[in-house]
Order: sequence, then structure tokens, then C-alpha cells
Amino acid sequence: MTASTQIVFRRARRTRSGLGEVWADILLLAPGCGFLLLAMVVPVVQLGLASLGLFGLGRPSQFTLDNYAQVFGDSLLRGGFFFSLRIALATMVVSVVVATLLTALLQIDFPGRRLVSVLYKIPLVVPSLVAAFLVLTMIGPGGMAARLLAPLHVTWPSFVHDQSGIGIVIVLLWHNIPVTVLIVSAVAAAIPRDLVDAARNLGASPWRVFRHIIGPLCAPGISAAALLVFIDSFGTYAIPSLIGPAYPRAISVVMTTEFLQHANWGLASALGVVLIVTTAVVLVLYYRLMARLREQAPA
Amino acid sequence: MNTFWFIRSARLRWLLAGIVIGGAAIVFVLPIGVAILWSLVDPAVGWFPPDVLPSSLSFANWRALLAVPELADDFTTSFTVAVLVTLLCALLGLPTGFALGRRPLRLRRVLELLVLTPLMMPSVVLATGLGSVFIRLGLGQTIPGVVLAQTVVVLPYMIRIVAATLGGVPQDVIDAARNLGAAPLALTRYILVPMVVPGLFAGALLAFIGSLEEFILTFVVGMPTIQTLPMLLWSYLGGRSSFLTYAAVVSLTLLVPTLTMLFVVERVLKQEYLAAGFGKA
Amino acid sequence: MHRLELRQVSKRFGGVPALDRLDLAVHQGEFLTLLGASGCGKSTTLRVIAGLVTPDEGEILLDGAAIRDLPVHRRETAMVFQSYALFPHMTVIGNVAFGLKMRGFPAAEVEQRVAEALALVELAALGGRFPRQLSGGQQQRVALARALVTRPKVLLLDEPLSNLDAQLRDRLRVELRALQRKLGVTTIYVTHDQAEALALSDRIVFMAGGRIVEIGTPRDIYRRPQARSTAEFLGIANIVSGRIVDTSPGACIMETPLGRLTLPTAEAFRVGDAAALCLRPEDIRLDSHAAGKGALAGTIRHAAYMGSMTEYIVDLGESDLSFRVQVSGDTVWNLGDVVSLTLPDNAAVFRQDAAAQR
Repeated sequence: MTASTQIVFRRARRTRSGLGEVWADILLLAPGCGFLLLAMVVPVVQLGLASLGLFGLGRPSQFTLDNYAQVFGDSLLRGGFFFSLRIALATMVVSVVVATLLTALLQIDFPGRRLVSVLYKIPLVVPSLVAAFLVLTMIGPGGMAARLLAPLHVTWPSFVHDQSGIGIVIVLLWHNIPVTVLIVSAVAAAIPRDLVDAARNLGASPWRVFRHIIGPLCAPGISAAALLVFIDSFGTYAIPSLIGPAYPRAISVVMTTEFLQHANWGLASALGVVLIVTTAVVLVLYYRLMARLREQAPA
Repeated sequence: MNTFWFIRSARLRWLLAGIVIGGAAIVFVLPIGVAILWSLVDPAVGWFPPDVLPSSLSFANWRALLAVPELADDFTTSFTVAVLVTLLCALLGLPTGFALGRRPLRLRRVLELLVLTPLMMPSVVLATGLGSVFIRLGLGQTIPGVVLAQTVVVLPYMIRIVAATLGGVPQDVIDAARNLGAAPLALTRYILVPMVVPGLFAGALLAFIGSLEEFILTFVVGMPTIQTLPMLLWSYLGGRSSFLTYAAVVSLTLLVPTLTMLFVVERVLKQEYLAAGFGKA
Repeated sequence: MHRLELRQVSKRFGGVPALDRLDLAVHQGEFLTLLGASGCGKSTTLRVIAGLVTPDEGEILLDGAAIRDLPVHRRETAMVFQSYALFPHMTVIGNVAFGLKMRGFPAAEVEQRVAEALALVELAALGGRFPRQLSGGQQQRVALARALVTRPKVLLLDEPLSNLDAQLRDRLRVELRALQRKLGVTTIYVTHDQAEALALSDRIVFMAGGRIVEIGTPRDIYRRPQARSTAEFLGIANIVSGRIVDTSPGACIMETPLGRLTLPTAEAFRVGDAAALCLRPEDIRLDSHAAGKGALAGTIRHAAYMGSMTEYIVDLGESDLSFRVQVSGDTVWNLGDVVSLTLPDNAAVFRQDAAAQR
């Protein structure tokens, strides 16, 4: 029995069986874990039911698959789904590449390295809305970049409200790259210095060290970070709602509009279910891929 | 952090430094400078292209913070909600974090996954789901509703930091204190609390910041009655109309406490804790 | 009355027995060492005495009073941990004063006793430092001062020197013993280092598998180990198995791969018993073969100069056996030399099957 148990539960010390301990555990875990469990299960169930036409607001409960038919059938909604998907993939790929490069860069000892390692953390505490504002003022129409280049008679391309969603991706990158760098550098720092020294001693050039030692050892951590970025970007609302195009509209934007403005719980819920299912599929694929990679490369 | 010296020449290193620092300054620092300028734009004159710098500055926008009722109201709402969320997270997070940090648990991995799941779910889904449930329960567009909703996405950070902090107290130190005669109360007061307070403080700070910044859940649950600063910012950025000067003021208001908190937290927490709080397993 | 007594103490951790019906009596003022390999139960025994582990069965008596149900913070024991376990957020003075503060002593007395304790361990000048500013040896002394200042009835030391480098360890070992003698505090010391145990203790308790194998003074244990496992642990490297073929009062004749040997022994053997013979490396004498002395012939296979002595490995004639022999001083023999070995008169003999059980 640990000392901390005896501090909190003097009575439990007497029980020889583990039953008192189990109750103590449950009591301690109930507030946090219980709350979270409830707060996730109930909404998801509600969404599931509402998407099927049951327990919606204002309409009589009636089982229907119309909402799903609409999600898959309507070209606008389908377009929105793939728009969100494209944005999420682009953000994920670019942020992982840039974050890895930045991490590698920060491993090199150059003057001012510490300054940079503080600066890159700034976006971590900038809310995504504020990030949207900052990026807008910089690269939006009439933003700083446009004004600085005007004397040179260079037209600044439009990054907002365009169908490629580039502005959205840029804001998401500004917001996500620092988190990714944080995670990747933590993973890289965990690699014992000895391994790198051994590799170099055996004749590996810096690039080879990265490719054969650091890279593979970081890969699980990096892929976890990539997953987080993807999921975050796929369902993001604020930024697409502000600088996204009129068409196609991101799935989260459609969902929120249907819910708040049209009180169309059914459709909004169906879209939500599609979102969750896509996320779940991605997660499963990720774990499968990780498992297969682990099999192929016996440690 | 491991440092390597792949680049031997000093001149190359200075060049690299210049590029990287310059790049970092432009990407991370300059936008804030521009935001500050926007907040100081004279409302009578405005700041239109092709001006690279605003022609006239004034504090009018900042004074509006006190004059415009919705700014002041939302400010109060945001900070009230943040305090309530921090308290609720502390209440829920301390026992759970203690259990995850110091007690042998059979289902530890499952529980850790559970704690992380709210961060893995698309927040718009959580928002809509919780929103509909709250409307049914009569919690829609109320402060308690918003507080509960925000807690769902802020609590995981609190739990992880509490668990890391409490778990970081070496068992040997606890044993030594008891061996030297510390009864449970004295042990808590003289040993546990002092060793744990910095980390808990950082956790509370992170919860506070998380609540201030939270947008989507607050938006869906609170709209339109309950308005926080992020929601106000959203409306200034083009939700209803584009009001860049006010947007700048609100942005900076949201930024100043959080940026200062960043430096405090950085000093208090080690890097691993920070990454632990962000979901790296 | 003994200062400390353990009676039939048992403890299982999930099915694995850590302590098995332990009986131990510790005398007032003695330096007792619990010696054994990792997992033998010595640290668990210490923690049971301190109260950090509650035994499943058995009783613990301090000055005759049962203390098994007494919580940790009310026992009058003080422990020095292997990791020192100094409080990182308190200065040296704060650390040392902690035990006194817990016991409610007035501030003036605390200050004075802390100063005394720090002077005792020669750290008086470092009172204001924090643990992270101290070296390993200094931290260890703070841990010691912190324990001693409370004037405990029993001082418990859990491998306190194992984290230090060899030179520091030797020096602190001497200081520790001197301090203990001066203060006269009953001390229980845990280590896996047999040289340390032999150097420090009044008595050694050799443990294996949660049980006490034997107890004795360092000399007794080393010269006349009662069990094979003790002998092996103490580095008495040469063990020969054989069978008793004849007995007589105080002696026996043993048939071994080295031939028939007559050996003095106090053990009551019967003809046919399996037995083992233990020979200490420093007790075997080597002479040149030409001299014709000694019962056994062998060839030097390996020679290692170790400063104060030279260690040889000698292959013995017809059998597969080889002996480890230590000869003080410089190397005399070379590889391949043929030598003759003389076995000592006082080699220990014990039962093979009983020894195998232990």
C-alpha cells in the first residue's frame, strides 16, 4: 500500500483485501473521468438519434434516413466534405514537414537559437480567432503584404474567400506548427545522445544519422502529432466561417449554420455523425498503419 | 535539448541565425506589431491602403473598451466564465489527477485515453451535441451551460498536468518525511503542497487561458445571449461586419494576459510537462 | 530485553513471498548488517521495521513494545534512503530540522541540535544551501544528519553508500562506523556488498529468498560459513562436492574428485551424506612442483595482479576443477607453471543437500 493511500484514507489501511482501495480509486476518478465520459457519450448519442430523426427539436420523433440521404446526395454538402478533407490533409502534411525541418534546425547550435525557441511558441497562446485576425491583417486583401508590395506594382493574390481554401490553410498552419514543433522536439530530445554518437562513430554522415536513426525513432511521435493536426483541422469552424468561400463551405460551417440558424437538428446531426465517423476511420487506419510498420521493422 | 553542430563555419551559422531569426520575427512577432497599430488607428481617419503605416494614431479605440457596453460586458463575461471554469476544473481535476498520478490503477491506459478523448473529438461535434442536450435541459444560452461546455475541453489539460505534477513527487521523499515523524496533515502541509503548488498553479493558468480562448463550444451553446470576447472578435472579423480596429483591441486584450502567462508557465513547467499537457502520450 | 525484535514476520507482494517467517533479535547499540543479493528481502525487512510496509503476519517489538500497528510517523526509527530523499524545496538546515519540527521541539533547541548534527557530519558551513547545490557525498551526509538529529532508537540505512564512487565510499564507511560507535545508536544497515558488510558490522545477517540463512560475526561468517550460499556470496570461490565415506568425532573423510580428504568438522555427518567443501582463495598455499610438498598438482591458467595481491586460477590435475588462489604480493608464477597446492586445515564442510536448499 502506498504512503499516499494512507494519507488520504486512514481507514483503508485496515482492510487486507483490495476492496477499500478499489472504492477509493473510484471515488477519486469519478469527478474527472465520470464528467468527461458523460460529457462525451451523451452528446454523441444525442447526435446519433437526432440524425435519424428521433428526439429532434420542434419536430415529432420519427425515424428517417432522409438526413443521411441529403448528406450523401446533395452536391453542395459533398463538396463541403471534400473541401474540409483537402484542407485538413494539406495542413497536416505541410505542418509535419515544416515542424520537422524547424526541429532539425533548432538542433543546430546557432546564435539566437534560444530566442527563436521562445518566439515560435507565441502562436501557442494565441486563440485561433486572433490568429485569423493577425493573418488577415498580414496577407488579406489590403493587408500589410499587399501594401508593401503595391509600390512594386505586384498584385497580391487573394488568399481569402477563394475556393482553394489557401488562406484557411495558412492560418491553420500558423496555429498548428508550433504545437507540432513542441511535440516533435520533445520526441527528438528523448533520443539518447549515445545513439547518435554511436551512429556517427560507425561512419554515418549527419543526413544518414537523421534518416536511419533520428527519423525512425521520431516517426511514432511525429505521426501522432500529424494525427492531432488532421483531426483539429478537419473539424475547425471559426476560420473557415470567416475567410472561407461561399462555395464550397466547410462541413463544420454547414453543420453550425443548420443547427443555429435553421434549427435543422436532423441534418446538422447527420453531418456531425459523418464527421465523427471520418475521424474514427482515420484513427483506425492510423493505428493499423502503426501496427503494420511495427511488425515490418522488428525493433 | 540535444544540440549538434552540423555546420562548422561560424559565418554560415551567423547567416543561418539571421535568416531564422528574421523569419521568426516576421512570422511570429510582426503580426502582433501590426495588430497593435490597428488598435491605435484614429477612428476618424482610418487606415486604408496604400498606407503602410497609419497616418494618425489615437487611443480612442481603447477608450471604447470602457465606453462600448458590449466590449465591457463581454470582457466581464469572459473573465467570470474563466474563473468558474478554472474552479470547476480544479474541483474535478484534482482528485482524478491525483489518482492517475500516484495510485496503481489497473485500467490506467484506458483512463488516460478517456481523458485525452475530448481533445481528439472534432470540437464542432461536441459543440453541437452538447448544445442540443443543453437546450433540452434548459441550459442553453446560460452561464452554467457555457461553463460546463468549456470544462469538457479544458479539463483534460488540467488532469494531465495535475497527474504529472503529483506523480512527480518521489515516493522516497514522502517516506522520508513520514519516517521523520510527519503525520498526514504535516506531510501535506510541509512537503506535498510546496512541491506541488508550482505545477498546480501552471495547470490553473492553462485552464484559465483555455477558457478565455475557447470559441466554438461557447458560440454554439451561448449564442446569442451569452457573449465572450472570442465571440465578439468573431463578429468584428466578419461575422456581421468587418470592424478591424475593434477586432485589434479585442485581440490584444485576449493576448496580453495569455502572453505573459506563457512566460510564467514556461519558467515553472519543464518542457515535458508542457508537451504532456498538449496530448503527447 | 533486545532493542528490536522481529518475530515470524512474513510479507507477500502479490503472491511472491518477500519475507518468510523471519525471526531476528537486535541488541542495543550494535551495528547489524542485512546482507544478500537483490530480491533477498533485506530492504523489505528495513521497511517493515520503519513501518513503510505492513507485514502480513508476525510481530515487531521495540524495547519490548509491539509496534506493528503503530503508524510510520510515530515510530522512533530514522531511515537514510539510498536516494537520500532530501526535500528539494528546503535548505540543508530545513531538512535536518524537519524531524525535530515534527516532534514539536522549541525553536531554540532545534537550532542548537541541528548545529550539533551538522558539525557531527562536518557540514556546518553548508547549512543555507539547497540539496541541488550539493555533491553526492554531501547529500548523503545531510541525510545522515537528518536521521541522527532525532536521536532515534533504531537507525536504518538502506544502501546509503551505493551511489558514491569507490574512494568516497571507503572514506564515508569509516566515518559512518566511527560515528555510530560514538553515539552508540542501534543501527541496521542494508547492503549487497560483502566487503562493506564485513568491514562495518558487529553481526551480519545473511539473507536469501526472504529467509535468514545465517547470522554471525563477520569473522564467524567468513571463517566458518554454515551454508553454501553464504560461502558463495562472500566470495569463497572454491567449492568441491563430494560424499562422506567415514566419520569420527570432530572429523570426517570425504571422497571428492580430488581424492579422499580428511577434514576436521563440527557437523555430525553420516556415511553416505552428500557434502561440499569450501576453500578460501587466500588459504590455499602454492609451492613449486619440484619442491614436492602439497597434496595436489595443478597448472597455472590465469594470473591477475591486483595490487595488494595476485589472483591465480589453477587447473587441477585429473579433474575438471580449477581453484581460485590468492597470494599476497607480486606475481611469482607464470602461465603454464606447474605448482602443487596445499589445502588448509580448517576448510569448512557442510551438507550438500541442505546447502542446495538454502
